[in-house]
Amino acid sequence: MENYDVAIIGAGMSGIAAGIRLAHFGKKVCIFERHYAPGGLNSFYFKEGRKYDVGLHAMTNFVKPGVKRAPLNRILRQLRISREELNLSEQLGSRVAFPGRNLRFNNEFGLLESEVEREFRSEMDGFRKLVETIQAFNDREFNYRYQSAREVVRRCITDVVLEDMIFCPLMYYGSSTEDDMDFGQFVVMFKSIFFEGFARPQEGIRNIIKLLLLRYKEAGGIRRMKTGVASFKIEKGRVDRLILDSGEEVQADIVLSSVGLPETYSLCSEKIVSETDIKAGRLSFAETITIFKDQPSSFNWGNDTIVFFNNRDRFAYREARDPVDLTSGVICIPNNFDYGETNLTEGIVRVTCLANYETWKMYTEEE
Amino acid sequence: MTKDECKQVVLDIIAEIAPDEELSDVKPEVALREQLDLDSMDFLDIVMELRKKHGIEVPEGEYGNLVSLESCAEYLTPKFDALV
Repeated sequence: MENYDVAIIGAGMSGIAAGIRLAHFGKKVCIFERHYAPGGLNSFYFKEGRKYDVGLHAMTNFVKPGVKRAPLNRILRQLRISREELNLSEQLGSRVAFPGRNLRFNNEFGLLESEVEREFRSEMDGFRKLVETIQAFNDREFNYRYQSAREVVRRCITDVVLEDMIFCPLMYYGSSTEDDMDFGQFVVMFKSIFFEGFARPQEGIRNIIKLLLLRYKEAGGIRRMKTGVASFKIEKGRVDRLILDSGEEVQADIVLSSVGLPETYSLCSEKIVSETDIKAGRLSFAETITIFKDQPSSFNWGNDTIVFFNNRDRFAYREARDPVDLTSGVICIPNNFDYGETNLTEGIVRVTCLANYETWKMYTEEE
Repeated sequence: MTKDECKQVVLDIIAEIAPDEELSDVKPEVALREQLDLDSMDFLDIVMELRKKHGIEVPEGEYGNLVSLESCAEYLTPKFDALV
């Protein structure tokens, strides 16, 4: 029977990154991935001669090299990935688009500040107070109680439209719960999107995954692809071994799962978790990718990189009743990053909206 | 090994872990974390490199000895000598 110091379930970015650190420290690690492709929710695939990125619109947390204590620089250092290898291009600029109101923002926070002043002059003091609150918050503290982000924001901001416009990008990019989010998570997302910013490797997500896999391999890590974990064998309240889809058993001293809490709980063959713990979240999303022969700059849509839009009076980040809820969402144009001389060869437009899971689950592949 | 050679070994390890840091002006008596942007993960990496490259073990309870180049030299030089 195979035996490892650490078994990691899922070859997405978090699984591979964990593998790199562990392998680097001399641990015998194996990553088990059910799919044939790495990347998980941020993966890529080929179809009819084209490469498509799945999930990721852009990388958040963009800062210039050398910015101290910035999460991006820290993680690149810990994973031994250099800026040159990553080859990031910055966004041209993005926008939150609500009925009659626009807030533009880019990788310099000053733009958002001037936009808030333009659109919501009377809220400027409150907005600055919110920014100070965010800067003062210790977002590395893991053991702290849930705080409603809406409540904290409302102590500073009185205009509900501004409130919703701030929450819109943060929710689409960082919240799995309806309507509200934990303030700690709000701070992490506010910093990563508004204080820091967006960037993208020109070759897309596959560049990041390629680098992660290369570092993992160089560190001596092992991967088993097309190898799903069916269940855990539990002894005395701990995971004793993995049982693979094939029936093969694998032993590991430690198991790290990146497949999410509900799925991880469902791998436990004994009832060591209650039914209520296993339930999944209420939010699902549908994404479309459209390819054009022409560059989007010729469409006269402006050169927004990402648009977070809402067409209703109140922004509702909630389970979709319709198959796809078109009243809000995210539009991303990967061509609108600062690539320098050569842009992407074709025009690409990605749209992500909230979707109704049960409806889609019932569709056949043709439907 | 002399204490100065030992300090250089530590600087070489830091150069590998944090290639973007400016190391030419590091003061030996001042805490490394006050002069350089190193966090606890980086110190774990330093400990790991000492083990992997030089066969030196630093138990978790003794990480405090690595606070400055001076204290590193005091603590590590005997360990290097013991390997010979």
